[in-house]
Amino acid sequence: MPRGSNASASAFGWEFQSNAAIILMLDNIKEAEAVRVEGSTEDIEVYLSNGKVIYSQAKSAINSDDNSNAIAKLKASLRTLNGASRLSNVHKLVHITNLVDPFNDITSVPYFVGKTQLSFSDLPIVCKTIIHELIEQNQYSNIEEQNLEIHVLPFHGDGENRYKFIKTAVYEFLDLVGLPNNGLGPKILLIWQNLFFANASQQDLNIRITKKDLVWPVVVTICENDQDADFLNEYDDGEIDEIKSKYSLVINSSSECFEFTTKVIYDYSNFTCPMQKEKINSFINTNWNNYIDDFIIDGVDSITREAVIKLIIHKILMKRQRIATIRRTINI
Amino acid sequence: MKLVSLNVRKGMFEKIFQFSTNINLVFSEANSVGKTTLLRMLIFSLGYSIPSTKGLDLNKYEFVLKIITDSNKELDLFRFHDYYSISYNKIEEVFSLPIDLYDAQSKIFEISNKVILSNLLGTFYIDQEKGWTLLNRGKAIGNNHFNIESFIQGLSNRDCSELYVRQGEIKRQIQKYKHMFNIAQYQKELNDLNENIAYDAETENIQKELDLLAFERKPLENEENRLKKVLKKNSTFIKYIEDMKLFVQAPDKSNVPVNQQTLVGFVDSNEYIISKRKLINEQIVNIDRKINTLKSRLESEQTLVQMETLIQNFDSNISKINIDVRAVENVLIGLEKERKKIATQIADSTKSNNLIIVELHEMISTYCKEFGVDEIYVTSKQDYIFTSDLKSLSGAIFHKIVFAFKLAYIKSVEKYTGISLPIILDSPSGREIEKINVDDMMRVLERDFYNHQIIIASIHKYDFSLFNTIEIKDKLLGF
Repeated sequence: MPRGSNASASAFGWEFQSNAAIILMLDNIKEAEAVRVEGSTEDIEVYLSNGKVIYSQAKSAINSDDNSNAIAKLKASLRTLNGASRLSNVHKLVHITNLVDPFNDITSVPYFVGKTQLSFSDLPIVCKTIIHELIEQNQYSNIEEQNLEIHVLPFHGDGENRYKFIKTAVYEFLDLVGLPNNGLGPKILLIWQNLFFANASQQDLNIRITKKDLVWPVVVTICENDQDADFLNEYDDGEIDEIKSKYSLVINSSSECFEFTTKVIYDYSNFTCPMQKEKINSFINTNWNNYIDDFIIDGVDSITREAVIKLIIHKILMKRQRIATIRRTINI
Repeated sequence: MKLVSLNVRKGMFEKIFQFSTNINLVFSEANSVGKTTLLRMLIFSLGYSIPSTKGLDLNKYEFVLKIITDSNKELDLFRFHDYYSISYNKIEEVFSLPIDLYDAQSKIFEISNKVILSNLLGTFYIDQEKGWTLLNRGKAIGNNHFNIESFIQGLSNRDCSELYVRQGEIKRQIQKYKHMFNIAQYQKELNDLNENIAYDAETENIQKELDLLAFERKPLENEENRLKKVLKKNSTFIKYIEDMKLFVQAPDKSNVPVNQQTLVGFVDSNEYIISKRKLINEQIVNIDRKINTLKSRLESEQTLVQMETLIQNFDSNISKINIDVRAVENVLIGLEKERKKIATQIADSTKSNNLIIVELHEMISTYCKEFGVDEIYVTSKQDYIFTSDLKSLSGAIFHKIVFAFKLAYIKSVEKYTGISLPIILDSPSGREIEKINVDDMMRVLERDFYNHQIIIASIHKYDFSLFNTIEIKDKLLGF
């Protein structure tokens, strides 16, 4: 994905479209099931669980304060969205842009500061009038104004500044699903950007990015970079890092092998602890030795083996907890 | 332990050799008729790995060796190739050799100490070829080793296994660093001869980048393969469960089939691994893309150096390897020090306050004196028994000293484990030894080891008061 000052307008447009799709998906994450970039009807199509679709047109300019073509872009969006309006499954019609003055009207600029999302009824009168006139003049008679929304997504500049608002959306998503950030926001964003960019280039329009496609890489990235639990405080940092490195194969394989993980989860589900917050640590400290027989590792001292077993159990339970939270929060 | 009889079978043919519980002489007038082969068959039937003699592959025969153990159990030992079984009171226990060798031999010799078992053959069996030069370290026959330190550790129950493991690790590391050092020396030679090959700098840079990418790619590839295996394992497990076609009862009394959809946590577990694998694969694809780009650049940038011979190709690759010779030398010095330290620790652990060493030395000295070996060959220092100085020994003297050591080993085994080992000697009359000395050896055997079964293969007849002769006239088996 091209990033930086040498991006042509076309490449910039592709990039904006992919990032806009990420935002639209995140904004609707509870109700959404899938998203398609460069869909059969619109630039971005978000499919909801009730069978309805959010159809969106993405329009951008490298210089976001160059509003000379703002109305032309709005008109082009409305033309295409008019086509989508004929379908019976329309939930919303969205014009999403990075222009700071999407209506080329300085009086309306204060309404579009930062990341904005306005339904038709929330628009200032001047904007409603512009839309109404465009619809009438061009006979976009299928568009129902109450379905229309105008979104502004700041996306400009070079380097990391360009993705500031999208990163914020990522952090908010992680917060929503109870996942720690741990500085992994940029990594997760990159994974999504690659996913959405690739989706745009897939000719088979039935290939969509599902909510699962979006969320599972996040779960994996977070769980594989999880912070250490309290029970590890009794070890030196260097000691734990060495154990993790030396026994990474055992730790990873054991925490992924269902035959073993189901044992741990079953035992955990029957374990009671007065303090729910402390349940995982308490379970690990009181039950780790029940799994000693599953880990006969030659040449390993008892302290190391204890640490390895505890790390494995922690990984299994944290993964389970995170997945359960996500399922509950965003209806996977 | 006494060997009672050996039954040798091949197809319809079989031959039985009976042994007396006292002294047995496997005799023939001529050489090369099969005496050594018969003794080796006995050893083979005890489970040991034995090289076949000319024209006779032991793996093609079935052997049944009847023995009476020291606790008076009658065992039938059956062997065909690596299939081994021990029958007692009509109950058969099966073993697979060589993996189960110690388990099988623990039943035969009635001891469980693996260290002693691993050194036992070198005490009671003297092979015609190497047996008469195995003093305190070496091979009894084939790949069956004897080591006096290990033997004494076993008898005195001193466990040095952790030290041996560490010693093995250090030896391997030393080997590797020596290889590195040799490569560095070779590089120096190439430089001195001006045969190192200079490359275009840009090409070298691209190659370095390619090497780095390959280095990055490898662990990702390994991880992807690991995840594939875990997925397969989980898939096999779930299939096993589904094939059982189980139902569980829900709280509302309805029946719920047990499958991957209803097995709690399975779908999530699988999705997680699939997702992880996808992420890894994307990284690999990314790296491959970069590699392909660099390779295209390399092709167009590379200056044409005609590699006419394999040696030129080899030399050019060797020149590129970056080795810090000083660092390697320092590491080697450190490792050698550690190896010596461990060897000392093993030796100290074996030797300190160990009565067995005193006893062995006394017995060896006594027997050597009786065999007419001059005292200058067997010093009064007790750690003489660990001597590595074999060069000063030769001929008849060496022969007698070896025999003295063996007798001492057998006596020690008897004292510390209770086993009366059979004594199996092939051609005790070596080429240089005089008959009078051989008679002395046999006399001591008959006198001090009367409770042991003795089996000797020879073209000579000895002056035993009572013995059983197994004469081989023409061929050992005839089939």
